[in-house]
Amino acid sequence: MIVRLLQSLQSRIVIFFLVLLALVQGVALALLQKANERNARQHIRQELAVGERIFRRLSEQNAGRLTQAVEILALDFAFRQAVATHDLPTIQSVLLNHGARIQADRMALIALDRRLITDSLDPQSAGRAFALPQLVEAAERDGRATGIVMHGTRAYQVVLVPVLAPTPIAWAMFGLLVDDRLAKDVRTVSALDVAFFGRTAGEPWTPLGATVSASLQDRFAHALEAPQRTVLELDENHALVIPLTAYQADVVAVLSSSMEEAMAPFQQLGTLLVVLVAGSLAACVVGSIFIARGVTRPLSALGEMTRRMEQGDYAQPVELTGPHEVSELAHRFNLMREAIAAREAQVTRLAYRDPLSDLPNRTLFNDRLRVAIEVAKRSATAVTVLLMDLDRFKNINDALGHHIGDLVLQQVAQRLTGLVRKSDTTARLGGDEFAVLLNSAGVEEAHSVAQKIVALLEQPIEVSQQTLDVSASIGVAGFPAHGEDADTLMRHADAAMYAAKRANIGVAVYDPHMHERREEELSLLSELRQAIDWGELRLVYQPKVDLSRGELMGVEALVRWQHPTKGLVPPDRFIPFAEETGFVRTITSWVIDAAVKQAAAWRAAGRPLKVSVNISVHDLQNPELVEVLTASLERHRLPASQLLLEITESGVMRDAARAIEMLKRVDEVGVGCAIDDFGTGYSSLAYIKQLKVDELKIDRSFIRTLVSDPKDRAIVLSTIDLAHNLGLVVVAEGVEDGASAQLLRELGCDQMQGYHVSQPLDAAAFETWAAARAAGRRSSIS
Amino acid sequence: MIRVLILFALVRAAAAAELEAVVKNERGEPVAEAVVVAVPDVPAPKPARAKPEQVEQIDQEFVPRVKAVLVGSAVSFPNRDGVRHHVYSFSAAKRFDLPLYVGTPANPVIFDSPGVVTIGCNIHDWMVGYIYVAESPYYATTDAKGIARLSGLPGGAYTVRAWHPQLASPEATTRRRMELAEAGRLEWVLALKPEVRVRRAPTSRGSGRY
Repeated sequence: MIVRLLQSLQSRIVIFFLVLLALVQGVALALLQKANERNARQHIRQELAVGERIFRRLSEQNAGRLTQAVEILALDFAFRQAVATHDLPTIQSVLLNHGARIQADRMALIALDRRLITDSLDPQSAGRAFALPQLVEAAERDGRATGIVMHGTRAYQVVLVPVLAPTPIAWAMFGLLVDDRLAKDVRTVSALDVAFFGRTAGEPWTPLGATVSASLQDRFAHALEAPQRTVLELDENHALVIPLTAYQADVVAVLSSSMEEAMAPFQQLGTLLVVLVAGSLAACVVGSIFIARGVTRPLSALGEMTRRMEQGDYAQPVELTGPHEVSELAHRFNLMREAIAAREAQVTRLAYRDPLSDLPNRTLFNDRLRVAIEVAKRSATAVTVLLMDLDRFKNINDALGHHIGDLVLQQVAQRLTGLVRKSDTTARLGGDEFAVLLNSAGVEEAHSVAQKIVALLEQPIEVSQQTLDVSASIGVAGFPAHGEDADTLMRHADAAMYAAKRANIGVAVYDPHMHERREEELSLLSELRQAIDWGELRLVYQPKVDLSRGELMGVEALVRWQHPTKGLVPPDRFIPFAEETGFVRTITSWVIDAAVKQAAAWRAAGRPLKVSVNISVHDLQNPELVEVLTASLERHRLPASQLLLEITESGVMRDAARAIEMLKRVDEVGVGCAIDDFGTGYSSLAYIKQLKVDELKIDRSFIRTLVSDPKDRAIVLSTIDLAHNLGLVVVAEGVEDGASAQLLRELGCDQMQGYHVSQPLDAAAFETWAAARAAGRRSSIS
Repeated sequence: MIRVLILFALVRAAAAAELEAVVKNERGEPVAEAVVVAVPDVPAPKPARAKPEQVEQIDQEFVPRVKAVLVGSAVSFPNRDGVRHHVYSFSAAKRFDLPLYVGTPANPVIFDSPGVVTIGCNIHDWMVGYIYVAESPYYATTDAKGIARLSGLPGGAYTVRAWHPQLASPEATTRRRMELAEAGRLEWVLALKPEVRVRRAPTSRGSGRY
């Protein structure tokens, strides 16, 4: 508690001043108290000294009074006469008479031979020796004697004078009792308490009379020692012991004053001071709290502000009024707060925003997705993710430049944000990949949103006075139907998007099978790596024949995977993944070499055939492709003209510039090229013009409906015309019946390929087929 | 009375012996006003009549302060002051009381017993005087030099004593025996007590002391 108290600045300030003031005041009070005590003691000493003088004067006055009275008595003629004539009754009556005048307590007459003539205290004592011979001796010596004498437990101040006639004939003695009355008289004039004590030899001090309590008398009596002038200090009582002239006894007067009385005026002052000290301490507490608040309140306010800032609240400025330093500090803090807020906003934007589209980036999207899932879990609602990828965006980038590509992405971003609700999140995850988070939306609703997006993107985009067609594939995955957490949802949306893209259907909702296939694909891929080594890959050949003459013009080598357990795996089951992983290059190399080797074998056997090999768009990016070709041709001593590379139109268009460059180099080494699947790749005639190709292969989709669909027939015809005009050989793929073959022949197509001619055959089967056909042809010709 | 006087003179004339007495105190200082009395073994013939003596009161003192007289002497107390005096004595040898008077009281006081008579004045307490009433006619009082001369003593054996108002011991202790032919000399060293006297009133003139 105390440690916590001391940790507060305010408490420290208050405690410091409080302790300091208390110390100073305490020391001052202590000093004052000490000075007071000293003063009081001194005061008492002085009082006692004065009291002593007063007391002595009083004693002398009493003695004087006695003396006067007794001297008058001693000179009374009748008294002297009575003494001289031993007239005792007269003597006694005169003594009483004179004693009464001054209220004397003892009257006695002593003969010159120191025998008592009479003593008022003891009428029976006449004739006995006077008990105080020393008093008489003093009187004989000095003419008279005054002093105090003890009689039993009482004491008398006595005066002894001679009765002169005119020389001494006797001693007359008057005495005053030393008692409370005398003490009171002393106090009346000296303002001091007084107590008388007496003792005879060997006896303890006996109290004789006092103005103080019996208990204090006892204590004085205890403290008394020799009859000397001393100062006694008994606790609060300071006393002065005054020895009195006494005969055959010790008698002292004890003048006393209590410290309490002496201190009384100082105590009053002290009480006032204590009140003042208490008041000033209270004022100090209030004042230092007030001042400390002036320091700590701004600190607390600034502390509160930094706490808010720590929690990310930069909105509220700190408002402080007070001394210049405080307001200046507050101003600086506000500037700092604003600067930090601005910087944090910038950092947040950089961290969570995609600078190109100003959409949330992947990080922010994932965050929001996680939050949305948590909310959905609690509120038992749904959250759906749309993952979108633009189709063939690379083409735009490559063909028109990154600047145009960026503009397209921005336009797409605008369209997306315009479409979804404010509460939803649209993000650019990177490249041409976008994602939309639909809060409280089920899969059905999300599907319709996705459809709208696809439809929206189908509207041409105009950038830099160019009109571009963009399309997108969207994968849909929803919580809780398709996953319980963000990562799973994203992965499933990705799988769905992939499926959509592959199926070219725009939108696909996640389906667990997609995932399974994906799994299967991954395992296939790993097996594919071993397939080449283990000789599981083989080539089949599909013949191409001249339409007009029926002559065998060449073969298209097609790769097949004879999986040990799964049987024959079609190329479209493994080539796309091989392409994704880049393994396709290895496969292409193998295919080229195997095809060249076979072509060389046939040539050696006297059956020279042009062999076509399909290459992937990824192969175009392989700078070693030409080396692979030439090396293979050289190894198997096959003329380059016997080899033809086939590349799909879409593959060319995906990276047209590279394709143009690569095909040019291939052409340089004498290897021919064909554009495969022509008519599906949205190719520009401008590109085709630049491509060093020899053949154009019309896509089977046009050929299949050629007979039934006049439009297709028109397309095929114009394609043939176009190709011919460019000096290219035109090959029709997928010819399955004679009618189509006949029609193609009429349209002027050069060659055909398909089941109508032959299905793909392995080398041995092909040779058999070719031999049989040759024989047939010979027979038909002949 | 006159015959006694004549006889005394005759006796003195017939005897030629003289006694010189010296009185000192313990410090060796001469003591004045001491009375020396010589008592012959053979009683002296009684004079027919003792001569009249007087003690005056001058300036509120008795003059002389010490007066030795033969027993039976009549002493008058003439008052030479302007104030009254009241001379009295409570001494056993002679008690008398002369109430306030001016001048000389009509009748002198007869001192008919030997001894010391201390006289005072009732209204002037300091006034003290002594009348030494001697049983022998041979006495004298010391002067300022402490010397007293006793003359006209017939030869013979004497008991001589000295007295002083402040004598500390009884008078008898000063007794001396001596044979006196023509001249004799005696010396006393006396122990004296302090004198106890009332202080003179301040208005009074004179050298009054305790």
